[in-house]
Amino acid sequence: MNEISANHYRWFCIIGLALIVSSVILLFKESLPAWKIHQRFSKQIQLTRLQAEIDRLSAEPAAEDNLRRLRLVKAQLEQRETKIQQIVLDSLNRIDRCTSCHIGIEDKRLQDLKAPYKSHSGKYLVWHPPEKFGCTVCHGGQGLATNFMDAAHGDIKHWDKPLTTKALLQSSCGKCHLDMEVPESPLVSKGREVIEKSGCFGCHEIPLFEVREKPGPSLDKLGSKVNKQWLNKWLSNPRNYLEKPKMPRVNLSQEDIDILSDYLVSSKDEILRSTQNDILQEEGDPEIGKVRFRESRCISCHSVNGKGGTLAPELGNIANKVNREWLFRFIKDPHHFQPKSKMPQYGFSDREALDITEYIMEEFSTEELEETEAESASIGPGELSPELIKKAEGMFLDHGCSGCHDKSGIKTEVKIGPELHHIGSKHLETIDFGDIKDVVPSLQNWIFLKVKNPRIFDEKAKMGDYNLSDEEAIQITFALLAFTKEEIPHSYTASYQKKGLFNPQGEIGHLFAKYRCLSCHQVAGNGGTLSTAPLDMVGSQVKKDWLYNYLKLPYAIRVNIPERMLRLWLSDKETEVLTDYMCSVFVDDSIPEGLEKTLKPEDVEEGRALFDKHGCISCHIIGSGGGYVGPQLNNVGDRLKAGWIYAWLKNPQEYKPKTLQPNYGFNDDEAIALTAFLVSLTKEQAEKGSS
Amino acid sequence: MLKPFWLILPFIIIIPLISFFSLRFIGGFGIRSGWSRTETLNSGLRTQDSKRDVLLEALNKSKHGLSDMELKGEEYYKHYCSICHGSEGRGDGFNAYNLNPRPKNFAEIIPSMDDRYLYKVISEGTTSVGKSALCPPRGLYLEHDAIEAIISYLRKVNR
Repeated sequence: MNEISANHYRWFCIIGLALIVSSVILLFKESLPAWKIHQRFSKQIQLTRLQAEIDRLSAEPAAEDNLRRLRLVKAQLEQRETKIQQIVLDSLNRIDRCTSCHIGIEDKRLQDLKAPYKSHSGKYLVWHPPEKFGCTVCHGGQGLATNFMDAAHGDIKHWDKPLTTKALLQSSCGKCHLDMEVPESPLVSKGREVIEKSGCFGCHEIPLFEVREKPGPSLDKLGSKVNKQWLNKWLSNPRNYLEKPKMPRVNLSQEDIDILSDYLVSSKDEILRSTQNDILQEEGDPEIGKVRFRESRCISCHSVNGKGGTLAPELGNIANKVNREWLFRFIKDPHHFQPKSKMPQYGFSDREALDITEYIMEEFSTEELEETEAESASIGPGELSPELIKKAEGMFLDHGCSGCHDKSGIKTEVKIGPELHHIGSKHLETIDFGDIKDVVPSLQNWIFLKVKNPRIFDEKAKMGDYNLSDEEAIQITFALLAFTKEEIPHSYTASYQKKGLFNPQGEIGHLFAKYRCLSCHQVAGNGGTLSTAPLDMVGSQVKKDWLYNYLKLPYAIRVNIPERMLRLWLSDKETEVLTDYMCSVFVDDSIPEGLEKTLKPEDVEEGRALFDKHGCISCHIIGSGGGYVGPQLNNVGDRLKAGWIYAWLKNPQEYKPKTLQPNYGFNDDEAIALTAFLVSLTKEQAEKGSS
Repeated sequence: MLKPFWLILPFIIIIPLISFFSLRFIGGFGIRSGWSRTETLNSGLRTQDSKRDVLLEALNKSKHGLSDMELKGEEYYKHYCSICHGSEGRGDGFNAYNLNPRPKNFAEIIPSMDDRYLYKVISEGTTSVGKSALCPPRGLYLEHDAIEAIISYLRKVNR
């Protein structure tokens, strides 16, 4: 039998006690987790504030209903048990226990407290009730956790999905909101706009941008348009020619550029090569061309030295780029060279087109026109060696040119860039920061740096350099972070801007295609946004005679905007067909027809008084004075229908949500009176008045 | 029994001690923070050593010193107000010269106006405070939050 000395006994007791005590302490800590404390504290505060509100309301008379409701709420609150709260969301595949600590998140009386007792800011929980959405779908983090660290509040290492920081929070909205404009998320909205404008989908598969026209022009017949010298300069760096080019700078060596240029300019237009255009032997009159240029409102879409529209290329130095023959032919028939161009085919005569060509070639050049005839005639399509063609075609495919540019003979369905469907969920371990060591390694930083300078991590990267500003890079980053691996079911996604079907056939279809109305106008959500008013109800808005005359010869309705409707030189027949169509089809039944008949002369006087009283002249031109904000109202009775004026005045935001026209809250009588007054403002009345 | 006792000793003292302390460090003070620690996180991004958070830097720079609410107010102001009141509120907007009376310079008048007055003017128009009808009411289509945002922007820019 061994001896156990007293010393050993002492040690044994001490250690044993230490173990027992530490177990008890741990058990104690486990039984009193943070969430219990938070729930109890929250309950206390909620009850106190509720009671204060009840007391306050009891002092007021006629508050019985409210009081009864509040007392009910208080009773429910008192009975609330302290237990784990969880929101089980099968369709979103998650369980969120955030409300175990953040139990007062929906109680608006707790706005001024600190987290986790503070209630949610803004109206977000009204729009997204927690029982349907939970918390982690917007905020990220570990929904199943019941303590601060496990939920990944903040930058906790090694958690795949930490809580989204406040700065980046708006990108979560983009997960479910699939429109181009995302409410409460200006950066995501702008980011989607920038992606649309820059044409990133030419190389990358991007959700929401799956069905898009190629962002660049077709490169067929390029040799008839530009010469090799220009093309070399352009491919080396588009900013040699334009200040804000749409095309990015590609990563090609000078040799490769040379080969590619040879290949591209070898494609010429058969018609230009074969026909001897007699009219081109003559000289056009640039002075007349200048007038025509202005009348046609080219700058509604094109910019000249930075001023004008952004829908079409900059023309300030176009004479350095294209040759005279090509320009003439293009102005006469743009769709022959660019079948998908947004430019309408104006009804110019040969002489008119020549004048305009002359004006453009003379005015829009910034340097001595070099002798280019020799260059452009040098290499024909049959003269390139097969190896060169093969190499160039390989380059064309390899560097993604075909993602943005059509070229007959080269077919490809594959985009050269990685698809971006789950880019928002990319793991940090799969991201290569190259030699950059002084940046916090995070997904958002990587995307931001890459988009700003695609070669920053890898000199050989094929992605083009778009020369984006910091703001644009931020916006794109936010937009991309919304594309995550999470599967959001249809019942949760929000897509309000639906496009209807508009595909007119026959004569109307031909006219809409020839004049490219949808480049600027919208019908059923299809088309461009240069014109701020969609055409869907134009037949109910304007008078038929006025529309006919306007299509024939557009004028400025709104004084302060530079974009104007183009004068397309439509024939009488074409104008008639279009007017008839629009006035019978683009009609909205909610706008009352025939209101004119119910208007009385007394209404006119009342309307005039209202017009003065509400200061409408501050924004609208009437008579000899007025403001430049809205359309001018002289002769508005000739232009607009009474029913539309009435509907618009009663609630402008219903028809144009961001309009500057205020909603004065007019009742029916006031709206009728104002309508009567405005309808009376016609050319006829003005002439009668002055005679 | 004595010899094995000395062998067991490390297991009884040292290993629990080591595991206790290492849990504290690795788990990031998880045990301690189980208690009510209402820690507010500043944007949540700890800068590791001296590394730059480039996106956050660029983001803060783009806000040019305005808070989120003030930025929202700036958007509304630019869209609805700047055409008459000017981009900086000096009363020199594109349309200002067509107005009679002209809008005043905000820098001179806003500091003396209280929030309730500004809210009334924006939502009910200038007629509601006894002035001309040239600035229209916007309360029927601008939400309460939007008007508050505009006011916060005006205050920031016109101290």
